[in-house]
Amino acid sequence: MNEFDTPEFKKLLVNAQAGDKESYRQFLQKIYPWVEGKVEYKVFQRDDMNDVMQEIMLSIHKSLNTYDEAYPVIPWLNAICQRRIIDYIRKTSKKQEFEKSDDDDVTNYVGSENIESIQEQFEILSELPENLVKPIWLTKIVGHSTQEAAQMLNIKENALRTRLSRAFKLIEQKLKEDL
Amino acid sequence: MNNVIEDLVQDLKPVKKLWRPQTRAFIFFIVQLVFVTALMVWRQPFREGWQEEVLHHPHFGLQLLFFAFSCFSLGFFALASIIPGRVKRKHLYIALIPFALLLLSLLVSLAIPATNVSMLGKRFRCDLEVIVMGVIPFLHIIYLVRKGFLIFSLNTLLTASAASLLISGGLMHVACMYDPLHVLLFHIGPVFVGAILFTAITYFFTQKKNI
Repeated sequence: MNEFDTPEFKKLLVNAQAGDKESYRQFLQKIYPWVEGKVEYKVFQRDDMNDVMQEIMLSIHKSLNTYDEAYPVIPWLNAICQRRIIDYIRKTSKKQEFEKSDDDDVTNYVGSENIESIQEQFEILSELPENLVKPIWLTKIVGHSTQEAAQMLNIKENALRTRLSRAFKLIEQKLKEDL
Repeated sequence: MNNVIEDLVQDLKPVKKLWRPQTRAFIFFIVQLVFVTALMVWRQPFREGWQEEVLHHPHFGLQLLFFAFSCFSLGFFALASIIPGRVKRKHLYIALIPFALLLLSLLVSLAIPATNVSMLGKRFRCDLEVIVMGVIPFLHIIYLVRKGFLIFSLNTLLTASAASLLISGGLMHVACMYDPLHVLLFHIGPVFVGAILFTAITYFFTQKKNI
């Protein structure tokens, strides 16, 4: 932390603003581990860490014009990092809510009782086309998340959701016919 | 790590540093004050004898000063908030002090009018005029805001829009009729409505385009 308070370090940033590539390289190399430490501390999903790091580095790059040498570097860097981490947290929590509500929707569509009956009556599944059976099998019977199931089937998550929805509609029709 | 750094280094070009927020806010305020004044005078001359009112009624003059300070401080906050690490949330409350004083002063004038109450100088649909005249200053300040790094997007947009609308809202104090209730409803009311409207529209578009 202290090494960022030195005039030499500030000079690197000021030179970078003037277009000095070597100073900029040194500046970025110095701050990278510091930013990484912050990201590791606040981003729990290891897979997303690289993305967040890139976002932060890009934001620093785009915001070079906003740094005023009369002020210390740390608050400037910190604000950029925090903003990007907050953006990431908001984005992921929205995504999680969406996934949760989407899963709820497809479950409620048929009803949880019917889901149980699906598990008991595998013959209904056998009447469905194969591309619709696998998503149901993986998500509702084996218990994988939609993301995991999509990866296993090598399709996009949205495509998997569409297939699930179509499968449930067919199951509903068949259950109604049986009644 | 090295790839990211190398890409950024290769992309580096000399940057034009932003002027200090106080300088930018001051220039914004002066430019837009002149522009909006010219537009308003072109539409209809200001109320007759407003200069004497300013000189002979200190409370009225004080209100004009509050208008100017509110506009400047809110504009300053909006422009300072786009510089990472410069402002904290508490600074917003400080920036709101002149506006709070202005509102207080206008409320006091309901009981003790700041100057002579009359219909002299009444403008047609002054409420709409406040909002319409605030569009160009708002576009100007948004242009300035976008040169920085948006941190508190809602607070920045709200203060930027309020600063823009307070120019026309404040000028109405000398351009339109003076009645304390009329001022609150038709000159200050549109500042609130317009600020929410401008913020909502801009927020919607920036979120949608992920700016």
